[in-house]
Amino acid sequence: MTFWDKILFAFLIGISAFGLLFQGLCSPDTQCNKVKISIDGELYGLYEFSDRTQKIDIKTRFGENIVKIDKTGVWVDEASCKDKLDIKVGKINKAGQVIICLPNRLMIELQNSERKVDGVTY
Amino acid sequence: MKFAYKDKLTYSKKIVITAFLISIGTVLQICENLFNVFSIPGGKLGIANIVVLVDFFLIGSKNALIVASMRAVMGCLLFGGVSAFPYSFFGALCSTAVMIVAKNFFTRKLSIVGISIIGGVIHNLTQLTVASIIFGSFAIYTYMPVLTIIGAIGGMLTGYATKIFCEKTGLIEL
Repeated sequence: MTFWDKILFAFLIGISAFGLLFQGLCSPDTQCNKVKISIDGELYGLYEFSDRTQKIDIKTRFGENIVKIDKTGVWVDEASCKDKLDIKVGKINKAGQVIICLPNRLMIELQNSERKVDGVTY
Repeated sequence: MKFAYKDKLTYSKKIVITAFLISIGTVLQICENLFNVFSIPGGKLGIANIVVLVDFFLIGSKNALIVASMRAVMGCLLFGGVSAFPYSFFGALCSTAVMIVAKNFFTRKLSIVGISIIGGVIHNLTQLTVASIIFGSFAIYTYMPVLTIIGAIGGMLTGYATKIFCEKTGLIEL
């Protein structure tokens, strides 16, 4: 490694550490309870955390996923994709966190319930 | 850095070497897909990038573009499926293009390790951009910091692997 290699490496690590820190500071510690599920960029449904466990079967032409929501968070229980990355992510419960299943084009976002977005286009 | 083999190759030898590199790269890519170390889409070390970097020294930059794009096509045909194709293809193409630019402009300052780091990070950035276009949402960019760290570390490891390989086989005369 030359001097400039080290500079580049340190710069990239530094900037992403700053990004992680920024994300940590911006997302509030309080639990967020609005769940937005979209398939292939289009809205599939809006859900909220509830005391009993909700089970959402998502069957589209891209694949099948079973999403579960209870009062502590949202997670993907079963998926028809090969890599199962969306199951490995586990449970999410903070605003700004996302679960993505690339093969099934599924995206689960947690939205902040207090802050209003200026405008969203679909 | 001095290229030892580049000028001694005939045209047919270049074709054979290109075919070998594409097949080795495809196998590396399939092997890499079997082990998902990180639970993030695109969070891979990028071992298949080694063949592209070796090709820089063996034949040249233009050939590296062919190897990278063909490797992505072959890997998707054999293993990844159609849904993985745009991520793999554009990621490989863009990262190789940026690595060529970096190699031509910063060759005094950056070694092969630095070029590999740039390639790894650009690969992840391109994949995220493709994903954000497909999903129509920018929320995917929340993975960017983690993917940059993984890309930089993976790029460093593959860069060192390439450097060791090239030194042992005498591709670079230091």
